[in-house]
Amino acid sequence: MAQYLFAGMTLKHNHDPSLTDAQRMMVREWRQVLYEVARQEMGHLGTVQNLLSAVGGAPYFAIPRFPTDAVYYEAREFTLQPLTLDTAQRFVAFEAPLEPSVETLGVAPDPLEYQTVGDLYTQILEGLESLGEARAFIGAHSDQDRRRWSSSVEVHSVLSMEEARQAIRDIVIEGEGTPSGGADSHYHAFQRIEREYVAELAHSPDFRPYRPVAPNPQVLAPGRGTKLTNPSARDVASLFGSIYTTTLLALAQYYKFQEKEGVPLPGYNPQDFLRSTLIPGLMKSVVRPLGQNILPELAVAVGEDLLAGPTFEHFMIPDVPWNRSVVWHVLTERLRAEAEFARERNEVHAGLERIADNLARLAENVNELKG
Amino acid sequence: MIRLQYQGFFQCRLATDSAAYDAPRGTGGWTFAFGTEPDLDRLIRLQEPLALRSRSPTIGVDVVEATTTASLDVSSLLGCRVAFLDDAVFEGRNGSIAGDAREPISPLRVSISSGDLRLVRGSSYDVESVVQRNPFMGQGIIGIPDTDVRGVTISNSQQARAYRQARLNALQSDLSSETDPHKREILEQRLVQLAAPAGGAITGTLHSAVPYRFPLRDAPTISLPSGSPLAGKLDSTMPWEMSFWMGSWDADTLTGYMRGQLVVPTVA
Repeated sequence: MAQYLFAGMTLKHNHDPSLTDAQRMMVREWRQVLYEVARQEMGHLGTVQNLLSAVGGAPYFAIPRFPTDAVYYEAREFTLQPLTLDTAQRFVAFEAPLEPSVETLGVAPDPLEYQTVGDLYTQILEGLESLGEARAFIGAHSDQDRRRWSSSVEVHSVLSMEEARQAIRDIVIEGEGTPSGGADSHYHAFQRIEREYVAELAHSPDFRPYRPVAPNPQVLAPGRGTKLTNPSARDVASLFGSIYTTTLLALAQYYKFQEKEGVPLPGYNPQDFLRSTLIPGLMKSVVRPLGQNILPELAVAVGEDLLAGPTFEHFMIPDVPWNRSVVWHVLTERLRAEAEFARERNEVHAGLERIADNLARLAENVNELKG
Repeated sequence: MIRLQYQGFFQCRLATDSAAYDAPRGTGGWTFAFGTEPDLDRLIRLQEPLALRSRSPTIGVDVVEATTTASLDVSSLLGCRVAFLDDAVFEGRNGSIAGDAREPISPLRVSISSGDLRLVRGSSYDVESVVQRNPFMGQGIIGIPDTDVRGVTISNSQQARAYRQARLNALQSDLSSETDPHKREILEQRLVQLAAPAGGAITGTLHSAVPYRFPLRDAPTISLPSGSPLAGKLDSTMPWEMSFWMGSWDADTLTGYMRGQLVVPTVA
């Protein structure tokens, strides 16, 4: 999901003078496709949390540092890259059905233990079925997320083997489509981008829909990432990483406590606030503008042309304590500190002032709810 | 108790996600100000649209039915114009106030008027406060209760796509006979949006709606023509309950439909 967001956020803007009108429209469509797929992946993430809960597991939101080897996929790695043709083809490969055509993938299918997402999920289902419903589904029914997040983000509850089958089937179909089709699947959406990309390059060899951003930009960069050395870029990337961590914490809080949260205020459930406002609000009004409008305008190093981008680093394991009231305090403190950090650096980029406003508003809303 | 039923088309010229909520021309979303059109301003106009695009419906949300359980002549309320005052907007601010279909209308002051008759009442609340705004938020997306408001039945994506295609054909026809360069530019850009593979969001929002339901509880302003049978009969102390849905959003013309009711308690 972070890879799709990175590619979407670092596409050129609608008014970029290097693109023709037709190219602008195409790039805008691609961005919408990438964001829509990412939103649907959020739904899959929620369904996976329900699956975890159903088998007695705890919510899990840690992600590896980019780049990292994609152990489930043939000769592909998880890496934050702008939307080059190679990136588009990599996305097609990620979402490819169990038996992709060689021409489509661009790589020869070579049987691996897990070759596709569908293969992985199929084996998870086989594992559940081998245990049987009574042994597998030991989680509490109250720990399931049954609410629709938005028109794009649909989460399946998993209370039985049949619901597990349905949830996995839907995840696979939404991602890969079906062997015979699935026009709305991620696979086919990425195939369309790939086709349009190839056609446009044939017509305009200099076509570059993406901004000149560094792959895997990072603040810490202990591995193979691109370390940011420009102090302004480092500051904003630190803020991005901190807010990304806060968002993951909010998700962990939401999935850890589900229906258990009390209703301290008449007519208002804080869990609803997490789902309907805080988490989507952080993504849309803070993470996206930082990643799309601000970071890709800051140089990786002072004096260089190469630009930064959304880092998707998190600086701590996104887990929450079992005392649920503590988390409201933690979220309030983090959001307030992040708002202050953004405001103190508003000379770096004019957009940081609004980021600070949005963070401060969300912080005070959380503070209201913690009572 | 008096029950007023109202309905009609409204205009809202707003930027859409992923543009900033107040982007004056629209940037990354699926609604834009084109050519010589004025900047997008987000205002919910139930009356008197601004720079209404061609092929738009007539804008105006009016009282179409007035009934009462009291012995009162309420006929003067029929035909009254309904409006949100004080530059009301759907206040989402890219999700930091509320997510899609949950945006509260802010500020909230409603006018029912015709000639010398004018009823104004609102509910003051701090939209920044999650607790205060909660009662005034949209209740999420539902299927549109009336599928025929656009003159053709639109109850699913297929019918919405057919509606989009009909609009495309109509605008192409308009363009072929348009000579004003400014109007041509606007038509051309609308056509580009409609022809995009996703067709903007015009196909996704035509057959959906967002319900609202809240009390108007501030002190009302009641102005009546002399000799009105309503004089002294409208309860100013009890809340007036307002409920409606807004839907059939057409991202090409930036118009939508609204239908609902206002219940005004009466004094015995």
